[in-house]
Amino acid sequence: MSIARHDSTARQDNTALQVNTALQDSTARQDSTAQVPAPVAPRTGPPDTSYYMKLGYIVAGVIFFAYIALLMRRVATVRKAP
Amino acid sequence: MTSVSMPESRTAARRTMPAVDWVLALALLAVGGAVVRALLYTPADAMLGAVQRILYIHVPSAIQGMYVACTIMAVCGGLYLWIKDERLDRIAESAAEVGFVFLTVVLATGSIWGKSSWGTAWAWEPRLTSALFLWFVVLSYLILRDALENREARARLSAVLGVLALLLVPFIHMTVYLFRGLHPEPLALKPGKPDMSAEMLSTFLIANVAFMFFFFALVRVRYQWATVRDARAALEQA
Repeated sequence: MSIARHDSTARQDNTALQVNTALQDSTARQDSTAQVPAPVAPRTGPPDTSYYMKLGYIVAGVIFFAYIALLMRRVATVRKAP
Repeated sequence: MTSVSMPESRTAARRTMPAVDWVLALALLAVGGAVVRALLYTPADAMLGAVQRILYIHVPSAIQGMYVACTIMAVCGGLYLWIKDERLDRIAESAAEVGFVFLTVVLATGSIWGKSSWGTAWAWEPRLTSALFLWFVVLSYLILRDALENREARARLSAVLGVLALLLVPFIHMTVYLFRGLHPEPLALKPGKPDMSAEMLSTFLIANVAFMFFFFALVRVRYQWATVRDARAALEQA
Protein backbone atom coordinates (compact mmCIF):
# COMPACT_ATOMS: atom_id res chain seq x y z
CA MET A 1 0.00 0.00 0.00
CA SER A 2 2.67 2.46 1.06
CA ILE A 3 4.94 1.36 -1.81
CA ALA A 4 2.12 2.05 -4.28
CA ARG A 5 1.60 5.50 -2.78
CA HIS A 6 5.35 6.17 -2.97
CA ASP A 7 5.40 5.15 -6.67
CA SER A 8 2.48 7.40 -7.45
CA THR A 9 4.16 10.39 -5.71
CA ALA A 10 7.37 9.75 -7.65
CA ARG A 11 5.42 9.62 -10.92
CA GLN A 12 3.69 12.89 -10.11
CA ASP A 13 7.05 14.53 -9.26
CA ASN A 14 8.53 13.32 -12.54
CA THR A 15 5.56 14.64 -14.53
CA ALA A 16 5.79 18.00 -12.76
CA LEU A 17 9.49 18.20 -13.62
CA GLN A 18 8.80 17.44 -17.30
CA VAL A 19 6.06 20.07 -17.44
CA ASN A 20 8.32 22.61 -15.77
CA THR A 21 11.18 21.95 -18.21
CA ALA A 22 8.78 22.20 -21.19
CA LEU A 23 7.43 25.50 -19.88
CA GLN A 24 10.94 26.90 -19.44
CA ASP A 25 11.86 25.81 -22.97
CA SER A 26 8.76 27.38 -24.50
CA THR A 27 9.30 30.58 -22.51
CA ALA A 28 12.86 30.81 -23.77
CA ARG A 29 11.76 30.12 -27.32
CA GLN A 30 8.98 32.74 -27.23
CA ASP A 31 11.12 35.38 -25.51
CA SER A 32 12.20 37.70 -28.34
CA THR A 33 13.68 40.26 -25.93
CA ALA A 34 16.14 37.73 -24.49
CA GLN A 35 15.09 38.37 -20.89
CA VAL A 36 15.05 34.66 -20.17
CA PRO A 37 18.45 33.07 -20.77
CA ALA A 38 18.31 30.50 -23.55
CA PRO A 39 19.33 26.97 -22.58
CA VAL A 40 22.94 26.65 -23.78
CA ALA A 41 24.90 23.45 -23.34
CA PRO A 42 27.99 24.02 -21.17
CA ARG A 43 31.38 23.92 -22.88
CA THR A 44 32.84 20.44 -22.65
CA GLY A 45 36.51 19.48 -22.63
CA PRO A 46 38.31 16.28 -21.76
CA PRO A 47 37.01 14.57 -18.62
CA ASP A 48 38.85 15.22 -15.37
CA THR A 49 40.84 12.02 -15.03
CA SER A 50 43.78 13.48 -13.11
CA TYR A 51 42.96 11.26 -10.09
CA TYR A 52 43.65 8.13 -12.14
CA MET A 53 46.79 9.67 -13.65
CA LYS A 54 48.19 10.45 -10.18
CA LEU A 55 47.21 7.02 -8.90
CA GLY A 56 49.00 5.35 -11.84
CA TYR A 57 52.22 7.27 -11.28
CA ILE A 58 52.12 6.69 -7.51
CA VAL A 59 51.54 2.93 -7.88
CA ALA A 60 54.37 2.63 -10.44
CA GLY A 61 56.68 4.64 -8.15
CA VAL A 62 55.86 2.46 -5.15
CA ILE A 63 56.56 -0.76 -7.12
CA PHE A 64 59.88 0.51 -8.50
CA PHE A 65 61.08 1.96 -5.20
CA ALA A 66 60.10 -1.20 -3.32
CA TYR A 67 62.25 -3.22 -5.71
CA ILE A 68 65.17 -0.76 -5.44
CA ALA A 69 64.89 -1.00 -1.63
CA LEU A 70 65.01 -4.81 -1.91
CA LEU A 71 68.12 -4.61 -4.12
CA MET A 72 69.82 -2.15 -1.75
CA ARG A 73 69.07 -4.44 1.19
CA ARG A 74 70.63 -7.39 -0.63
CA VAL A 75 73.70 -5.30 -1.51
CA ALA A 76 74.05 -4.11 2.10
CA THR A 77 73.80 -7.70 3.36
CA VAL A 78 76.53 -8.84 0.98
CA ARG A 79 78.80 -5.92 1.93
CA LYS A 80 78.36 -6.52 5.68
CA ALA A 81 78.75 -10.29 5.57
CA PRO A 82 82.03 -11.63 7.02
CA MET B 1 89.87 -25.72 -2.11
CA THR B 2 90.09 -22.06 -3.01
CA SER B 3 92.85 -19.50 -2.68
CA VAL B 4 90.44 -16.65 -1.72
CA SER B 5 89.88 -16.18 2.03
CA MET B 6 86.65 -14.72 3.54
CA PRO B 7 88.04 -11.21 4.37
CA GLU B 8 89.46 -11.01 0.83
CA SER B 9 86.06 -12.00 -0.49
CA ARG B 10 84.43 -9.22 1.55
CA THR B 11 86.85 -6.66 0.12
CA ALA B 12 86.14 -7.95 -3.37
CA ALA B 13 82.39 -7.73 -2.69
CA ARG B 14 82.73 -4.11 -1.56
CA ARG B 15 84.79 -3.30 -4.62
CA THR B 16 82.26 -4.97 -6.93
CA MET B 17 79.23 -3.51 -5.16
CA PRO B 18 79.63 0.12 -4.09
CA ALA B 19 77.21 1.46 -1.45
CA VAL B 20 75.83 3.97 -3.98
CA ASP B 21 75.49 2.80 -7.56
CA TRP B 22 76.02 5.89 -9.69
CA VAL B 23 74.65 4.30 -12.86
CA LEU B 24 71.39 3.52 -11.06
CA ALA B 25 71.30 7.01 -9.57
CA LEU B 26 71.72 8.52 -13.07
CA ALA B 27 69.01 6.23 -14.44
CA LEU B 28 66.63 7.35 -11.68
CA LEU B 29 67.37 10.96 -12.58
CA ALA B 30 66.62 10.23 -16.23
CA VAL B 31 63.30 8.58 -15.35
CA GLY B 32 62.49 11.47 -13.02
CA GLY B 33 63.17 13.94 -15.84
CA ALA B 34 60.96 11.99 -18.24
CA VAL B 35 58.14 11.89 -15.66
CA VAL B 36 58.39 15.67 -15.04
CA ARG B 37 58.25 16.29 -18.79
CA ALA B 38 55.26 13.95 -19.15
CA LEU B 39 53.31 15.50 -16.28
CA LEU B 40 54.14 19.18 -16.67
CA TYR B 41 55.19 19.88 -20.26
CA THR B 42 53.14 17.47 -22.39
CA PRO B 43 49.53 18.23 -23.30
CA ALA B 44 46.77 15.93 -22.12
CA ASP B 45 44.76 13.92 -24.61
CA ALA B 46 41.63 15.72 -25.87
CA MET B 47 39.42 12.66 -25.43
CA LEU B 48 40.82 10.78 -22.42
CA GLY B 49 42.11 13.71 -20.38
CA ALA B 50 45.07 13.55 -17.99
CA VAL B 51 44.94 9.77 -17.52
CA GLN B 52 46.43 9.34 -21.01
CA ARG B 53 49.76 10.44 -19.48
CA ILE B 54 49.98 6.95 -17.96
CA LEU B 55 51.09 6.01 -21.49
CA TYR B 56 54.56 7.42 -20.72
CA ILE B 57 55.16 4.82 -18.00
CA HIS B 58 52.86 2.01 -19.16
CA VAL B 59 54.26 1.48 -22.66
CA PRO B 60 58.00 1.93 -21.81
CA SER B 61 57.53 -0.55 -18.93
CA ALA B 62 55.83 -2.97 -21.35
CA ILE B 63 58.64 -2.64 -23.89
CA GLN B 64 61.28 -3.36 -21.24
CA GLY B 65 59.35 -6.02 -19.32
CA MET B 66 57.98 -7.89 -22.29
CA TYR B 67 60.24 -7.41 -25.31
CA VAL B 68 63.66 -6.64 -23.80
CA ALA B 69 63.59 -8.79 -20.63
CA CYS B 70 62.09 -11.84 -22.33
CA THR B 71 64.55 -11.59 -25.23
CA ILE B 72 67.49 -11.43 -22.81
CA MET B 73 66.07 -14.35 -20.80
CA ALA B 74 65.67 -16.46 -23.92
CA VAL B 75 68.93 -15.55 -25.69
CA CYS B 76 71.08 -15.90 -22.58
CA GLY B 77 69.22 -19.06 -21.56
CA GLY B 78 69.68 -20.58 -25.02
CA LEU B 79 73.37 -19.64 -25.06
CA TYR B 80 73.78 -21.14 -21.57
CA LEU B 81 72.37 -24.45 -22.81
CA TRP B 82 74.99 -24.34 -25.55
CA ILE B 83 78.19 -23.06 -23.87
CA LYS B 84 77.37 -23.57 -20.14
CA ASP B 85 78.75 -20.23 -18.99
CA GLU B 86 77.33 -19.30 -15.57
CA ARG B 87 77.50 -15.59 -16.36
CA LEU B 88 74.82 -16.09 -19.01
CA ASP B 89 72.60 -17.78 -16.44
CA ARG B 90 73.08 -14.85 -14.05
CA ILE B 91 72.23 -12.31 -16.78
CA ALA B 92 69.06 -14.25 -17.66
CA GLU B 93 68.09 -14.49 -13.98
CA SER B 94 68.67 -10.75 -13.44
CA ALA B 95 66.72 -9.76 -16.56
CA ALA B 96 63.83 -12.04 -15.51
CA GLU B 97 63.56 -10.52 -12.04
CA VAL B 98 63.77 -6.90 -13.23
CA GLY B 99 61.43 -7.72 -16.13
CA PHE B 100 58.94 -9.14 -13.64
CA VAL B 101 58.92 -5.81 -11.78
CA PHE B 102 58.31 -3.93 -15.05
CA LEU B 103 55.52 -6.34 -16.02
CA THR B 104 53.89 -5.77 -12.63
CA VAL B 105 53.97 -2.02 -13.32
CA VAL B 106 52.40 -2.66 -16.75
CA LEU B 107 49.50 -4.64 -15.27
CA ALA B 108 48.94 -2.18 -12.41
CA THR B 109 49.03 1.00 -14.52
CA GLY B 110 46.99 -0.68 -17.26
CA SER B 111 44.26 -1.56 -14.77
CA ILE B 112 44.14 2.02 -13.47
CA TRP B 113 44.00 3.41 -17.02
CA GLY B 114 41.32 0.84 -17.92
CA LYS B 115 39.20 1.77 -14.90
CA SER B 116 39.19 5.38 -16.10
CA SER B 117 38.79 4.81 -19.84
CA TRP B 118 36.82 1.55 -20.11
CA GLY B 119 35.00 1.73 -16.77
CA THR B 120 36.57 -1.51 -15.59
CA ALA B 121 39.95 -2.28 -14.08
CA TRP B 122 40.12 -5.71 -15.67
CA ALA B 123 38.56 -7.50 -18.62
CA TRP B 124 39.29 -11.04 -19.78
CA GLU B 125 40.16 -9.84 -23.25
CA PRO B 126 43.05 -11.26 -25.32
CA ARG B 127 45.79 -8.65 -24.72
CA LEU B 128 45.24 -8.36 -20.97
CA THR B 129 44.83 -12.09 -20.44
CA SER B 130 47.93 -13.00 -22.45
CA ALA B 131 49.99 -10.33 -20.63
CA LEU B 132 48.82 -11.75 -17.30
CA PHE B 133 49.80 -15.22 -18.54
CA LEU B 134 53.31 -13.97 -19.35
CA TRP B 135 53.49 -12.42 -15.85
CA PHE B 136 52.72 -15.86 -14.38
CA VAL B 137 55.30 -17.55 -16.63
CA VAL B 138 58.04 -15.14 -15.48
CA LEU B 139 56.89 -15.60 -11.87
CA SER B 140 57.12 -19.37 -12.29
CA TYR B 141 60.63 -18.91 -13.76
CA LEU B 142 61.69 -17.09 -10.58
CA ILE B 143 59.96 -19.62 -8.28
CA LEU B 144 61.56 -22.50 -10.18
CA ARG B 145 65.01 -20.96 -9.67
CA ASP B 146 64.33 -20.56 -5.96
CA ALA B 147 63.07 -24.11 -5.59
CA LEU B 148 66.03 -25.95 -7.13
CA GLU B 149 69.15 -26.48 -5.00
CA ASN B 150 71.38 -27.90 -7.72
CA ARG B 151 72.92 -24.97 -9.62
CA GLU B 152 73.41 -26.81 -12.90
CA ALA B 153 69.84 -28.17 -12.95
CA ARG B 154 68.47 -24.77 -11.93
CA ALA B 155 70.28 -23.01 -14.76
CA ARG B 156 69.33 -25.64 -17.34
CA LEU B 157 65.62 -25.89 -16.50
CA SER B 158 65.15 -22.15 -16.13
CA ALA B 159 66.91 -21.60 -19.47
CA VAL B 160 64.32 -23.83 -21.15
CA LEU B 161 61.48 -21.92 -19.48
CA GLY B 162 63.09 -18.62 -20.50
CA VAL B 163 63.19 -19.70 -24.15
CA LEU B 164 59.54 -20.78 -23.97
CA ALA B 165 58.52 -17.45 -22.40
CA LEU B 166 59.84 -15.58 -25.44
CA LEU B 167 57.48 -17.56 -27.69
CA LEU B 168 54.56 -15.81 -25.97
CA VAL B 169 55.81 -12.31 -26.81
CA PRO B 170 54.97 -12.15 -30.57
CA PHE B 171 51.59 -13.69 -29.77
CA ILE B 172 50.88 -11.01 -27.15
CA HIS B 173 51.98 -8.33 -29.63
CA MET B 174 49.61 -9.67 -32.30
CA THR B 175 46.55 -10.16 -30.05
CA VAL B 176 45.28 -6.65 -30.81
CA TYR B 177 45.29 -7.46 -34.54
CA LEU B 178 44.08 -11.08 -34.34
CA PHE B 179 41.19 -10.69 -31.89
CA ARG B 180 38.58 -8.10 -31.15
CA GLY B 181 39.15 -6.65 -27.68
CA LEU B 182 39.29 -3.50 -25.58
CA HIS B 183 43.02 -2.82 -25.81
CA PRO B 184 43.97 -0.35 -28.56
CA GLU B 185 46.46 -1.17 -31.30
CA PRO B 186 50.08 -0.04 -30.79
CA LEU B 187 50.71 3.69 -31.25
CA ALA B 188 54.40 3.47 -32.01
CA LEU B 189 55.48 -0.17 -32.50
CA LYS B 190 53.64 -0.61 -35.80
CA PRO B 191 54.27 -0.15 -39.49
CA GLY B 192 53.82 3.49 -40.54
CA LYS B 193 53.88 6.78 -38.66
CA PRO B 194 53.03 6.90 -34.92
CA ASP B 195 49.55 8.24 -34.07
CA MET B 196 50.73 11.07 -31.80
CA SER B 197 51.41 14.77 -31.88
CA ALA B 198 55.06 15.86 -32.08
CA GLU B 199 55.15 16.88 -28.39
CA MET B 200 53.63 13.62 -27.24
CA LEU B 201 55.91 11.61 -29.48
CA SER B 202 59.08 13.32 -28.21
CA THR B 203 58.01 12.71 -24.57
CA PHE B 204 57.18 9.12 -25.44
CA LEU B 205 60.61 8.56 -27.00
CA ILE B 206 62.41 10.27 -24.08
CA ALA B 207 60.46 8.09 -21.62
CA ASN B 208 61.42 4.98 -23.58
CA VAL B 209 65.13 5.85 -23.54
CA ALA B 210 64.97 6.70 -19.80
CA PHE B 211 63.16 3.45 -18.94
CA MET B 212 65.62 1.42 -21.01
CA PHE B 213 68.51 3.04 -19.12
CA PHE B 214 66.69 2.34 -15.83
CA PHE B 215 66.06 -1.29 -16.79
CA PHE B 216 69.71 -1.96 -17.63
CA ALA B 217 70.91 -0.12 -14.51
CA LEU B 218 68.72 -2.39 -12.37
CA VAL B 219 69.85 -5.50 -14.26
CA ARG B 220 73.48 -4.41 -13.73
CA VAL B 221 73.07 -4.09 -9.94
CA ARG B 222 71.13 -7.38 -9.79
CA TYR B 223 73.83 -9.13 -11.83
CA GLN B 224 76.63 -7.81 -9.62
CA TRP B 225 74.77 -9.03 -6.55
CA ALA B 226 74.22 -12.47 -8.12
CA THR B 227 77.94 -12.69 -8.96
CA VAL B 228 78.97 -11.97 -5.36
CA ARG B 229 76.27 -14.34 -4.05
CA ASP B 230 77.49 -17.18 -6.26
CA ALA B 231 81.15 -16.51 -5.37
CA ARG B 232 80.28 -16.67 -1.67
CA ALA B 233 78.29 -19.87 -2.17
CA ALA B 234 81.29 -21.40 -3.98
CA LEU B 235 83.58 -20.32 -1.14
CA GLU B 236 81.27 -21.77 1.51
CA GLN B 237 81.06 -25.07 -0.38
CA ALA B 238 84.85 -25.18 -0.64
